Amino acid sequence: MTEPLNPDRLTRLMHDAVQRVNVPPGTLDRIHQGVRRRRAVRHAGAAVLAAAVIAGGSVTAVAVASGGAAGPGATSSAGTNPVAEATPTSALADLAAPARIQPYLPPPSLSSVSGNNVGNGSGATQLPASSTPPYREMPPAPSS
Amino acid sequence: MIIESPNQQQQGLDEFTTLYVGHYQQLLRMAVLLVGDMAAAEDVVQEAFIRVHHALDCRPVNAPLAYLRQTVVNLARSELRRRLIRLRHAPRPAPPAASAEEGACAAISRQEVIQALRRIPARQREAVVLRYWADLPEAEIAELMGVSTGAVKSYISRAMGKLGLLLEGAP
Repeated sequence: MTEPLNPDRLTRLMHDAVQRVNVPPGTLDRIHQGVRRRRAVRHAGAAVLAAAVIAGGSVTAVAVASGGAAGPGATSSAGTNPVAEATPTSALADLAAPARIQPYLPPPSLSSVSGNNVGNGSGATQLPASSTPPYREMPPAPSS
Repeated sequence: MIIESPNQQQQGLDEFTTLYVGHYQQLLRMAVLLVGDMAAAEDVVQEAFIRVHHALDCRPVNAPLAYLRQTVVNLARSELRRRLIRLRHAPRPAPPAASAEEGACAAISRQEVIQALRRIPARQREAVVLRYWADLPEAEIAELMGVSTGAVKSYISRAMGKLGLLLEGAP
């Protein structure tokens, strides 16, 4: 079993090993160059960040302003603007229109139990067979 | 954002120059012991000084030498980690040294004690270099390495055992 190294011997060995290591000439200049380069990069980064923040703020402001103009008071112009018709907002408005709401029709067993004719389906709009309904499929109207 | 007066900047720069003149060589030697080669050690210490310069520009640093030493140790650790990754993905070994300066650097790297230090775990190497070369007390080493004093003692004890085997046990 080998003894652990004597600390004094290790210290001496390490000092001997690195005693020829000297500072290369021009090191301080290189450090100053590095500092200047980093500073320039930081300033450029800060400028880009500031520009991005200003641009983002401007876009947000424009979006908010145009969103306010196209609010409830501007719904009448949606019919003349094809782009406005295609927007999700107008599609949702169409779905929410009272004339197109499908009444819930209870299954025949329920309507027969309740005894009224709420679910007779007389007012229900039938969709074409080829179209995919965007809502729950209606059960068939009960035959009275 | 910190706005500082020119006087404050001048004071920071003076402090920086004092640090450079007084400690660059010692830190370079310590970095050689930690990373095992001259070129990497120069990169590590230069980078540490650039970071300290930036820190001194931005705010007053309480103990600049301790900050510098810690930065050197951390950067040396990162360098060793990068080197390990490079070795893992290297297609073939690096070409032999060409110039006289590179030859001198290689001679330093070939020192028996540096070879032995390279063969022990990084934490143990840091602990023995900081203890027996930089002559720091164990408590300060523990703070610098972010471990307990007991851990530092354990690292040093293990390292001394291994170094004894490598430096004195070899035929």
